[in-house]
Amino acid sequence: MAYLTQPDYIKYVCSCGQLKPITNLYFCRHCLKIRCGFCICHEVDSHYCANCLENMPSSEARLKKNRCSSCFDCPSCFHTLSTRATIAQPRQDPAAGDAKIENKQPKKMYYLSCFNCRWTSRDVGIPDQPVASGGWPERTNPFAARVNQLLDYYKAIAQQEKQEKLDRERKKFAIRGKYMNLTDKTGLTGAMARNIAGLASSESSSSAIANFVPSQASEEVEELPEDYHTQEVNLKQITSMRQRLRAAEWQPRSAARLQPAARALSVKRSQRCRACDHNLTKPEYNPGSVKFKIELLAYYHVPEVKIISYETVKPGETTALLLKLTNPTAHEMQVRLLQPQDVPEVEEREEPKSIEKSLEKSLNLEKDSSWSKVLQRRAALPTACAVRAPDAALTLAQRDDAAEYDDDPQHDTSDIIMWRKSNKLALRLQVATAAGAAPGGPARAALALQYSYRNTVPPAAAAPAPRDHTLYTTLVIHLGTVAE
Amino acid sequence: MSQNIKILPGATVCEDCTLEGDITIGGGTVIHPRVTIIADGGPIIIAEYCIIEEYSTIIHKKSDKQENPPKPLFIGAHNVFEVGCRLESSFGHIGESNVFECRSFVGVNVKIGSGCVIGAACNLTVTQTLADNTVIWGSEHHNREALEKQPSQLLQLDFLSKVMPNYHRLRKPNVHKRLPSRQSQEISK
Amino acid sequence: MALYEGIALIQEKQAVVLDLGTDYTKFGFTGEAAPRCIIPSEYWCTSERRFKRVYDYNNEEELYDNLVHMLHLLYFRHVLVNPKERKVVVVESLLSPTMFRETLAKVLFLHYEVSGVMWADSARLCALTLGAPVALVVSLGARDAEVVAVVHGCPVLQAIQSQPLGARAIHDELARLLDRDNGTELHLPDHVLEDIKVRACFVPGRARALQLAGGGAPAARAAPYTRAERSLSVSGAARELAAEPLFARDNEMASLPDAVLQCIALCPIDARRELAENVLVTGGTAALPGLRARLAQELRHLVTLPPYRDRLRVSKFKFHTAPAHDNAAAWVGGALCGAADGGARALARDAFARERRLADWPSLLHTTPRTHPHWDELAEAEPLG
Repeated sequence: MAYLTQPDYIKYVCSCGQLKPITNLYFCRHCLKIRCGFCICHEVDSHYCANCLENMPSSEARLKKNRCSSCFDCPSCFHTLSTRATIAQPRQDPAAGDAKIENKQPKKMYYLSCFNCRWTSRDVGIPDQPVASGGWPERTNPFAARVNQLLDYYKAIAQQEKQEKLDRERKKFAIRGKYMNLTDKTGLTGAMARNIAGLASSESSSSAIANFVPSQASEEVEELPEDYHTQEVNLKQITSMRQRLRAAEWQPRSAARLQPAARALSVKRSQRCRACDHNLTKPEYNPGSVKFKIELLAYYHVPEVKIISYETVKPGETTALLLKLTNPTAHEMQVRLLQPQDVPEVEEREEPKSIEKSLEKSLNLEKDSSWSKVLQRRAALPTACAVRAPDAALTLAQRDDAAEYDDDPQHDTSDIIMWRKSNKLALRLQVATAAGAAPGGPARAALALQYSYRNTVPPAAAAPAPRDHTLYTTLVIHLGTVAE
Repeated sequence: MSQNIKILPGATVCEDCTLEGDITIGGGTVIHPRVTIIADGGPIIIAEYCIIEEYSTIIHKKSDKQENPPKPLFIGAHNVFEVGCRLESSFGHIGESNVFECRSFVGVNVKIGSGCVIGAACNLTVTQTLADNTVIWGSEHHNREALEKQPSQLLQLDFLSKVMPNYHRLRKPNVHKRLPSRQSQEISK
Repeated sequence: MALYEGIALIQEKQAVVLDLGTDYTKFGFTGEAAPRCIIPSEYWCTSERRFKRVYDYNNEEELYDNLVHMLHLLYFRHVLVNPKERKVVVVESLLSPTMFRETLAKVLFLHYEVSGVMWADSARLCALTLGAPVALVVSLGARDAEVVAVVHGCPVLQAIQSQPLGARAIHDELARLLDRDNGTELHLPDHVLEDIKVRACFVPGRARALQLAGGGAPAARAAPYTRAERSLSVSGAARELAAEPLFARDNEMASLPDAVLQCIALCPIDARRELAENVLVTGGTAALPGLRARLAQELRHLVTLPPYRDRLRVSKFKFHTAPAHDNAAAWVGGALCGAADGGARALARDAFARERRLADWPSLLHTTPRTHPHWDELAEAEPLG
C-alpha cells in the first residue's frame, strides 16, 4: 500500500538506466537482469470489455472496431450507460380492432440512461427498443462513401504504376528519370500527374480511374446567417471538444446529435524481455481474473530495501540511517553493501561465436540489438551523499511464511545489524554528506547491493547453467532535503 | 429560538433529527434520521413528497437585509436531498423535482429552478441561477440541459413511509387539517 | 522483389496512421474514413504526477520518453494492436524539426520495432483527399497556420508560408478580451479557453468586422459561462473578436489572407490561377463557425489591393470541401495513401538501421541527383568503407 500512496523513497536502477521503484520493475530470470516497463516489449494478449468482462476474440474485435457490442458509454460524460426498462402501453390502433389481444398487453421497452449526468437516449430522440441489449441504431460515417471512392481510385493508380514499372523493367528501361524528387520518394502522384496531364497512361486504365470525379471547388462558402450575432446562445446545447472527439467519425456540434457510443475494449498485455524474448508477465485469459500465469516481478526476486528512519542530512556531516533489507526468495541470500562505483561493469557476455550464430545475426537484422545500445542510458547517480557501507557479508534467511508469527526480534551483536527477523534485517548505517551539498536541495544517496541469487529455472538440456549467481543492483535513497 | 414545527399528516419525520425554527413539512415527505433543518432567517416550508436523506442539512440563513416579517424559504414538491448534501439559502423558492446528490453543496447565492440535478460533491458557491432541467456533474461542473424533469421517486417514498415506522421513532403530525390518515393513527398508538 | 511483394500482400497487417499534432493526436488504421481516436497529445507522467504534453521537451532524451509514452497510450489503450511488425504512416508538417523526426523514427524503429514507416507531409495528404491535381492547402493548426501549394503532387517548397496564427493566437486574444471584460486577470487554463472558443466564439463576416472596428455596431449577445470557481460572462465582443488576430493586417503583411496570397504569388505563374480556384482550408481551427467565409471575403477584397492587384491578376477564389472533418483531413489523406500502395514506399526498418537517418527535403544528401558531380567528389573525399 505504501508503494501506491507514498512517494518513491527508494528507486532501483533498471538495466536500461531508468530509476524506478521496485514495484515497477521486472526481473528476467534468463538474463538475470532487472527490466522495467520502458525497456521491455509489450504485446496485446486478448481483448475484453472492462464493463461486462466479456472476452472478445481479436478477429471479432477487429471487425467491430474494438468496440463492445453490448455496452455503451454516455456521449455526454463518458460514464457507462445503463439500460432501463419502462412499461409502454401500446397505442390503441383502431384499424387493428380487437383481433390481436396480445397487443393490448403492456410491453417492456428499454432505453439507455446515464446515472452520472442523467443523459438518456430519449434526450436525443432515439426510440426505445423492445430488446434489452443491442438493436440501437448504428450510424455510418458521412464521408465513408467518398473516402472509398478515393481509395479505389488510388489503389487503381498504384496498381497501374506497379504494372508499368514491371513492364519497363521487362523492356530493360531501367532509368527512372533524371531527378530524384519528392514525388518519387513518397507520393503516389507520379502516375496521377501523368494521368491528369493527359499522357497516355497505359492501356489498362481501369474503370476506377476512368469514373473518378475529382473534388469540385465552389465559389460559394457557407456563411453564417446575417443575424448570427443576435441569436440566443445556449452553451449547454453546444458540445465540448471532448464530447466531439469521443465520436471522431461524426464530431457533432449540437448536443442534440450526441449518440451513445459503444464502449471501447481494453486489452490484457503480456510483456517480454527484449534481450531473450522470454515472457516476463503473462496474464490469465479470463478477463475477471487479475492473476498472472507468468509474473517475474523484481519484488519477488531482488532484495527489497526500505527506510526505517533517517537523521536530517546536513552538509559536511555524518548522519544516521536505518534501513531494512528483505529477502523475497525462498533461498538464503548473501548480501554485501557496496559503493555504486565498485559495481563491476557488466561485461557483455559474447556467446561462443559459432559460424552459424554470426551468420544468422548478419542475415537477421531484425533481431540485431547491438545498435539499439545507442539508446542505453546511464542513470545519473547522486554523489553528494554517500552511504558508508561496511565491508561485511550479511546473510538474509529465506522467506518463511510461517515465521511471520514469530515476533521476537533477535538482537545481533554486530554493530551494524540492529535486529534480525526471519527474512528481514535492519541495518544501522551512516550517511556522509559532502560539505558542498546545496542546502534545500534534495538529499539523495546511491547504494549498491551485491547479492547471491539462486536460479530455479530448470536449465536447458544443452548447457547446464550454474544455479547460483552473484548479482548487483544499484539503488537511490531519497533522504528528504539537505538541511541548512 | 422559537420552535414551531408543523408536520402535516402523511409526512414521515424521524425523531432523531434537528429541526429548529419555523418549519412546515408537507404531507408525503420523508425525513430520515440525522437530518438538520434550521430555519434561522425565516420559516422553511417543505412541500409534499420530498425525500431528505441522512446527514443532509437545510439552512435558511439570516441575511443582512432581512425583511420583516421574514420571507420563507419554500422547497417545492418531489425534491430529493441525498445523503450528506447541504443547502444554504437566505430565502426564496426552490422548484420541484430537483435532486441534490450526495455531499453536494448549494450556497446562498444560487437560485434553483425545477428539475435540476446537482451532482455528487458539486460545490455551488458562485452566484448563479440554474434554469429548469439543468444537470451539473463532476469537479469541473459540467452542465447540460435535460429534456424533461427527473422522474419522481414515488415508489421509493411509498416504501420508505411503510418501512421507516418499523425501525425509527417518528414525530407525530401535529397539524390536522384533514382527517389523519390510517397509517399515522397506527403510529400514534 | 516481385516475389517479396507477393508475400507481403498476403502477410501485410493493416498499417496505422499517426498524426501527432501539437494539441491533438489522430491515430487509426489505413483505409478507414476516420481516425479511431483523436486525443490530446499528452500522457500521465507518473514521476511528475501530472499530464505531460508530448511537445514539452528540452532535449532529445525527454522527447524520446514523451514519444514512447504517447505511442504506448495510442497502441495499447486506443487502437489495441501490437506495434511490432506493423507499418506506420506518419503525417508530418513539411516544417517539422529534424530532431523531432529523427527521434520519432528512433522510437518507432527501435522501441516499437515497427517494420516500416512512411513519412508523408500533411499538405500533400490533404490534397489527396480531394483528388484534384492542384490545391492550395491552408492548414490552421494549434500553433501555426501553414499555406502550402501542391501542384500535381509536388509541394512548391519555395512558396511555403507559415505564420503563428493558429489556435494559440485565438486563445491569447480570447484571454485578453475576457480579462478586459471581467476587469481582472482571470488566468484561465488553456482547456477552459479552448472550451469557450469552441462553444461560444465565431468569426463575423468582413462587413460586420469593419462595422465593429468602427465602433458602430451593436454587440453580439453575451453568453453566460459558469465554472466551479467563478462565473464569467463571455461578452459579445469576446465571442466575435477572438479570431481577429488572424485577419489583422499590419505593415509586415503577416495576416492569414496575406499568407495565402503571398504563397500564390511565389508559385509558378501558370499555376497561380489554378491555385486560387482550388483552395482547401483545413485544420482544427478551420472548424470555427464563419472562419472560411471570412477568409474568402478577405481574400477577394485583398486581391484588389496593391501589391497583389498588379502581381497576381487572380479574379476568382474557389474552395474545396475535404471528405473529412477539419481536424482529420490530413489524417484521412494518410489513411488513403497508406492503403493505396500497401506501404511499398515505406522506409523499411533495416534500411533505417543501415542509414540511421531519414530522407528530408532540406538535406542535400537526399535531394542531389545521382548524376550530379558532387557525388563523385564526395566519394573521392571519403572512400566508402
